[in-house]
Amino acid sequence: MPIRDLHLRQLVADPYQTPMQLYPYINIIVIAAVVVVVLLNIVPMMVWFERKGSAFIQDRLGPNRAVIAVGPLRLRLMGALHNLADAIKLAFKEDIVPASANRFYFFLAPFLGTVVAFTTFAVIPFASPDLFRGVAGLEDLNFQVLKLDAGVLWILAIASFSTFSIMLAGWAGNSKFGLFGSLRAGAQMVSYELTLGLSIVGIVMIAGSLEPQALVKYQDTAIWPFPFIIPRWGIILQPLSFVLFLTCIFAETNRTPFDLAEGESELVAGYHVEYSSLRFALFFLAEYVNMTVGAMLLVVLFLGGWSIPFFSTESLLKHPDAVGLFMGVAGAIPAAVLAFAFFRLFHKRRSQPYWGDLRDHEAAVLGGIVSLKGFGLLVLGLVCWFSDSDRWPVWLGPTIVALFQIGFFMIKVLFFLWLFVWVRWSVPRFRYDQVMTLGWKVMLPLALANVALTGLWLFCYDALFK
Amino acid sequence: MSEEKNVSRNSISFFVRVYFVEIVKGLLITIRHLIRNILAHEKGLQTISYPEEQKVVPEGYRGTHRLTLRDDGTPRCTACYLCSTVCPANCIHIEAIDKGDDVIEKRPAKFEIDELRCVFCGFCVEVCPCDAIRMDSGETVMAEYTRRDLILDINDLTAKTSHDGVPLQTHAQGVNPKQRPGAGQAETQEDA
Repeated sequence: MPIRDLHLRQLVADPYQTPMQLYPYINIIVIAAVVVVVLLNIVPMMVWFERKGSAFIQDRLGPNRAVIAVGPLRLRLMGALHNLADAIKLAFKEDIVPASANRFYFFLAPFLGTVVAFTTFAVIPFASPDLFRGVAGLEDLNFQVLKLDAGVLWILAIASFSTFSIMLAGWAGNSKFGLFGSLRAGAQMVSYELTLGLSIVGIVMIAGSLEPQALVKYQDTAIWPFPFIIPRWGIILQPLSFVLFLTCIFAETNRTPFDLAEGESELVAGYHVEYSSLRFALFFLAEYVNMTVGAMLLVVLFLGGWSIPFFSTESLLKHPDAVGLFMGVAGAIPAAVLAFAFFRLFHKRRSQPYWGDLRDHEAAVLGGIVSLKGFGLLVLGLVCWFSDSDRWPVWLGPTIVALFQIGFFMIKVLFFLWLFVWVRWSVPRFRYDQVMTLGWKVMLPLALANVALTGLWLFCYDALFK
Repeated sequence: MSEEKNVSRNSISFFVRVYFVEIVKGLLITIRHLIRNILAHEKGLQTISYPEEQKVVPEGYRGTHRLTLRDDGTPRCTACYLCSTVCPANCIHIEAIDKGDDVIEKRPAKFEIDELRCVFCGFCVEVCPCDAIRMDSGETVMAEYTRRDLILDINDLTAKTSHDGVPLQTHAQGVNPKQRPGAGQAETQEDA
């Protein structure tokens, strides 16, 4: 309903009496705020994955020196604090703008990239929209920022914008290396966008809608109820499409093996060679946010988004106490394993001190914190199970199920983010002509063939079984 | 007139051409490394945790220069300018002064080496006739806050020890057997 129908004077006079008409807007603002905060926290975690994971893959130690000093105790947190140090360092570096650079585009490119990267999240669903149907006042709580009927088109359109930022950056820097990098990146991104769009067509045809929430709800159903429960996930219905989409996401985010735009050994830094301090930090941020967008989109389209394989949303809502117990136990088990590993390390350090000072005791502190968390989760789970779920407030059950679905979604997304890092350090970079050949001569025909075959299959299915 | 030569190339199988199988094989290799390195904590890792552990320099490693001393504690250098002349980077600056002695006539009043210009070629060590300058201090780190601090003068150069920490007056044998103290002098005395 249009916002001009509201009585703003009344609203200002008594802000605690929020009229029901404002709930959709509050929904948008709250979920958008949550999404931005979650994204901004995923990025440092991803940087830590990348640095520590790549170090262990390459038989080296990785970052382990930045500390938080709590009294005499120095917490290293396995190198996660290096991100904080990097952020502070990048903020205080000298901001160099080349004298012959095109100032407007030079200033615009990193902002454009970042804004575009964040805007793409507006249509990604995190949990089922049917969870809060029974709760008064929250029936339309949709775990998406915007409910658009053409949500998938929104993502494709806005993701094409990110090409602008890269090409502007290379041009505006006024340097040959930057220009080469941005040209190659632009050509690569444009070529793979076609296949990106076409590979989605298959699953959209089968599910019959472009709206991401509807796509996920379609994937929440099972192909054959008994005896094996196989969900109608995109990866099972359209495996070729999944492989094509995965490869195109690697190409769209300029990630190895398609990272010839920023190939560190070839082009210095590629399109962002002329950028320093916070502008470079924004490019860095935009790259990781784009990667997260790609992973979330992959999960929403092909891995069933927030849906959990053997349990539909209704069955979860009927037993929120079991869901609570499961989450408590499933959170406590990795916490217990991690705490055990920390205490074993502490025991080893106590017998042969490595540092010789209080740093040896850091493992005990971390082990203590992790075991407390695990214990707390276990207690919460047991409380959920043993309390009488009929006497719970009406919003508590749906909230637990929502947390479960969001958690499962994030686990799937985290697996794909790890896959990005894993592939980066396992596969060598492609040559530019190999990238172009692959994009136009292999991916595009395969995507078209996939669309044709899917259409044929649907036609035959309709003709034979309807 | 050239003949055509057919070079037979190894044909690649279909699965290698498709490349996904190869990618998966590569991923399995890296994940094996990852899991092994996480479980065997810090055992197979090649990183040297500087400064707690130091890298062991090989024999003959050319580190920061040092000037050797005679038995009475004065530098062996006779300010003959051979090292300064041979240096390809022009980083040794010497000023000679009379020693007040008719056997060893000169000594350096000022002996400066600009370590920032030095290319660590070792020519100065090879050319010195008195075994007065050496690069066997084994110092791998030269870190100072200003450029001025890395222009080492005669006090800095004579205060160094050889890289096993033994003060150079009592050092019987350097790491490099060709750079033993007094090796050059003993040979000339035998010849004489």
